[in-house]
Amino acid sequence: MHSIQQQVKVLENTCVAENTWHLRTTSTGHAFQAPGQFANLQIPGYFLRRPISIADWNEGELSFYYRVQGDGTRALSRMVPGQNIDILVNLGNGFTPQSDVRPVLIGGGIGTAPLLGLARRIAAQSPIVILGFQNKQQIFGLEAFQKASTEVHIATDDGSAGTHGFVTDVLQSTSLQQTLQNTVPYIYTCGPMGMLRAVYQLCSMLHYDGQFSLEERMGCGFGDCMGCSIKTANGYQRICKDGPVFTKSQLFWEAKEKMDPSVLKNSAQRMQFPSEATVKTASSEKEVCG
Amino acid sequence: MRLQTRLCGILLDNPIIPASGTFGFGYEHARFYDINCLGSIALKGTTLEARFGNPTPRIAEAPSGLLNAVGLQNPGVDTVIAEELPKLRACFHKPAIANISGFSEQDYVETARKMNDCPEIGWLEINISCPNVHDGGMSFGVSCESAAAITAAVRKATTKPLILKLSPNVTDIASIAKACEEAGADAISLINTVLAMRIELRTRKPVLANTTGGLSGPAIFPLALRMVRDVYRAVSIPVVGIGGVQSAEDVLEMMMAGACAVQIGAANLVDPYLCPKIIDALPDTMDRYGIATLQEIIGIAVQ
Repeated sequence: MHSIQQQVKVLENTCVAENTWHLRTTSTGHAFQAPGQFANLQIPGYFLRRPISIADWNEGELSFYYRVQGDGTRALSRMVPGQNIDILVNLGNGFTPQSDVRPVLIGGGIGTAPLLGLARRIAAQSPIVILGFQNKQQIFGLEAFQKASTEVHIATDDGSAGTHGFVTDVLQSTSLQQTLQNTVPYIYTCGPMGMLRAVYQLCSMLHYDGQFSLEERMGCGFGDCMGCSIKTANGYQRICKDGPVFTKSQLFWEAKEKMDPSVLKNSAQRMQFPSEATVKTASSEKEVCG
Repeated sequence: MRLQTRLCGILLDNPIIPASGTFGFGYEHARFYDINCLGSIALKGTTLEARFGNPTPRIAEAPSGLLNAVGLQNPGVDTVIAEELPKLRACFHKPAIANISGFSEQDYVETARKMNDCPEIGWLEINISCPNVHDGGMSFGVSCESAAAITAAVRKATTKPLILKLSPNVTDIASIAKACEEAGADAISLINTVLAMRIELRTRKPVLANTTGGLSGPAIFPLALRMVRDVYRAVSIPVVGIGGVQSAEDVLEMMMAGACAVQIGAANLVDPYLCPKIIDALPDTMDRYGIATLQEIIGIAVQ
């Protein structure tokens, strides 16, 4: 049995966008099996590890993006090349690429990170990529996505780049709907809870299936403490072990919320919604240390 | 041999026991290492009926620890017996400690009665930190009377060794331990988590959906140690120490305070390989402190 605990060295730890950092480390192999999995990083001085989605990996190297939101991630951002980090790897189920579909990757903020590794691995399926950010200063990873896809779309809340609005505006736009005609679109999505719910509702309306990467404050991150349990159609599941990726049919958000098309189209109204949770990389700090 | 210890007469290869709630029903942890290296395992808290537990967030960080408000998520005793225990038995070949919670005396009695017939279970650990729904929500473990009443009721329901797991959120833990001993407990384990809270500055709301939660981890180690000492001096039955243990040295400290065995909880969540690391480190650590066998140091610092 391969140990999930690795002592890795920082190769690079740089600020690549507003409040967004790129961490590259060494790896001793067998670190990850699927895009959308995560690692649990030990930050000296902080008790609980920080769960951070893997953006990409190959033999010998790991790539993470994270947002600095509190003391723990701030401390992480101060680590320098050569420093050691104790990490647990191969956590979570990750995305399961589907065949015979037109993949649509939808990311919000720091939630775009796990989609990077997915895009690279399913590039042959001509994925469409839709990335939402608050503003253009927060955009990251664009070149990597553009290597894997010729259809990369940006949406910003403030209109400073790409579509002025949300990822759902892009998805239901006439031009993209035309592109998706005569295909079987399949969504892979990761981002703030508000975004996930909006994407979910839109998928229900358009009859798209897909996989949603969720997150929650975690204790262990490997299934032992039941800190991150949610109710799904399959009963109680742990986001860290049975997830973080769940298929659309496993989530019953519709039961709580009526499908209201105006919710999806009204940008201004949506901007009032507080996010219940932000993406794992961002909230790994905020959620864990309170 | 050096690491051997006894709990209610049952021999343990070593005093290392993962604490209830941090190790599930054991078998899932077997993917990390052979769990037969452990002294025993305290299984996830089991209630009469299935429970989902509290809404998330259920976890908050604390300095040198964490808060949890999981709320006893478990599939209920019938499913535990029918499905979880067989999976444990397939990979763990020592007696395990079942942990029982309840919200009324009847809950405890019925659950204990069902567990009494399970061959996988060597001890019943009774968690009396739960609120008593029939008594205005006060935890069973906060008074000598209610703690003794639960002990006496469960005593009649089982012939297995009975460990009463005490809450630290009390005025006088030693007297509660004494009351449990007098009512028929075979051992005392302590401490459960310490009632605590965190606030999220950005939202100006408690971090936990449940508002409060239980604090565990190294932050509570000195508190747990002191309470182990208090209880050890008050009772004649064995004492199991729980609370912030994260090293072989901590294990020795707990045993010197009166513990015959030690449960490791929060530290397991941070390092899933910690228990075998501690077991491996114990002989050398004992050498460093001139300790020949663990049994010789039980309570030695607090006589």
